[in-house]
Parts: sequence; structure tokens; C-alpha cells
Amino acid sequence: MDNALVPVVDANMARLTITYNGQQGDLPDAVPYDMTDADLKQVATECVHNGDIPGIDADNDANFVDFVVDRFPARDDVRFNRLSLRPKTPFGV
Amino acid sequence: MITIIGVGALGSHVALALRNLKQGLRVIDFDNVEQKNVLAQFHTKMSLRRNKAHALSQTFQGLFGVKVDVVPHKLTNDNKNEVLKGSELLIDCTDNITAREIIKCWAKDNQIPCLHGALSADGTFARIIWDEVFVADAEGNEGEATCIDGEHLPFFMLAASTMAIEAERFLKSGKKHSIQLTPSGTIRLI
Repeated sequence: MDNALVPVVDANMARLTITYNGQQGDLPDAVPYDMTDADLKQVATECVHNGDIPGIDADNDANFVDFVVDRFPARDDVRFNRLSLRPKTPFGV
Repeated sequence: MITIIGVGALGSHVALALRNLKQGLRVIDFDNVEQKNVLAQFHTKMSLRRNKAHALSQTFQGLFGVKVDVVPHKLTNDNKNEVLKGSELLIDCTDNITAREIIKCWAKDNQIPCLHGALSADGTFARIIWDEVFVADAEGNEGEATCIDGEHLPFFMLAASTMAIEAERFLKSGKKHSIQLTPSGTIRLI
């Protein structure tokens, strides 16, 4: 999967990775790193409805209400902020 | 010593993939092997009703001639120092937030690296996340059990292999990559 689609150069912006229905992909455009969870879920819902996420099939029933947002700030070897909207993962065993 | 906490669907296959590490393995699990486990975990019918850590050790000895340290107890705040001491890497494959928090705190207090593995209920998503950026999710609801009848076994094995590769990468290079995984591919988060 292409992991370098979104050129993020602004320290206040981030790549948004969306995981849905066993598929995942990055939003084509960077988003503000401090965007609220609710707003991120709204953006993701609209994008998946429209089929705008490379790697995720369009789905008009997509719903991210129970999903979780992780925030990963940039560091020396990964020089862009990352946001991840994902399903809950309560299991290991 | 590499310590794997929880040797069920994820942890048993991580152990399988890491069995050749020169550092050696320790496995911790208080649970026993049930019939349903045989469908999705690296446990066999010969191990039914036996403790999972003991069962895995015996299987490794019999199949591969590999010796594994065994802790057949539940990890608690009372025994954490005793059962985790001597670890140079922790691999968390547990299924409850209490155990995850004990592991995370012990790793931080003792400055031992820790790799956490976590799966979604529908068996289509896994997180393989280093301690510095790991946040444990609440446990699933009753009836939300994953891997019923072994239906997600291929994905669990993929997640376990990815986790083992990440552990090996760290042991060789000291680099930490946190990863998300679905059946359709992986993304390195950081």
C-alpha cells in the first residue's frame, strides 16, 4: 500500500489514515492535526461515502461513531504528523 | 529473554515465529487450552485442559527441541516483578486492559521496550504498537469474542508474523516501527 501519498510539510497538518471494513488508506489531502475527533469522523464518513480514499471501497453505510482516533506527532525519522481513525482493538488472545 | 504475555491466537503464533531467537523465550499465560482454541491457536488436541504456557513449552520441546521458560500464572501487580524480571523485550498479546496497563507501567518503570498487539472484534484489523505511543482500548462486550470457529486464523497468523518481524527488527537495529494491519495491507504509522 502506498504510504507516501500526502506531502505534509506544515507542522500543524497531518496525514489521516482511515481503517474501515478490513481496508485502510490515507486521505488524499492533509488535515489539521488538532481537528477534533468528531470532525475527523465527519470528514471520514463523507470521504468513504464518496469513495475518496484510495484503498477503501465506497460505502454509503460507512459509520465511524464507535471508532477511535490516535494521534502520532512527527519525530526525527518520521517528519509528519499522523492521525489514525480506526476500529477498537480490545483483543489479543 | 523475550517475554510473551498471553499465548492465545496472537501470542502462540508470535512465539512460533520467534522460536529461533538466541535470546530465548518466556511465555506467560494462566489460561487452559480448550477445544475451541485448537481451531485458532498454536495448541493441539494433545494439550486440551492443560495450561497454555506449559502446553506451548511442551509442544516446542517436542516439535523443535526448543526450551521455553514458563509462567503459568496470571500477571498481577503482586507478581509482576518476579515474572517479568530479566526480560529485554516484552511482547503484549493479552486481551484485557488491566493486564495491558500492568505491562505498560512495568515496562516504563524498568525502561524495558514493549511491543503491544491488539485485534479488532471482527478479526480484520490489528495494531502492532510500541509502548511510547500505545493506548489500550477497553475490552470487548460479552459475545463479541473474536475468532469463533477459527474463522480469522489466516489474518491472526499474518498479524503474529508481522509482530515477530517488528520484534526482530528492533532487536537487530533498535528501531521501532508502529504498524496497522488489515488483510489488504499494512501502514507504518510512525
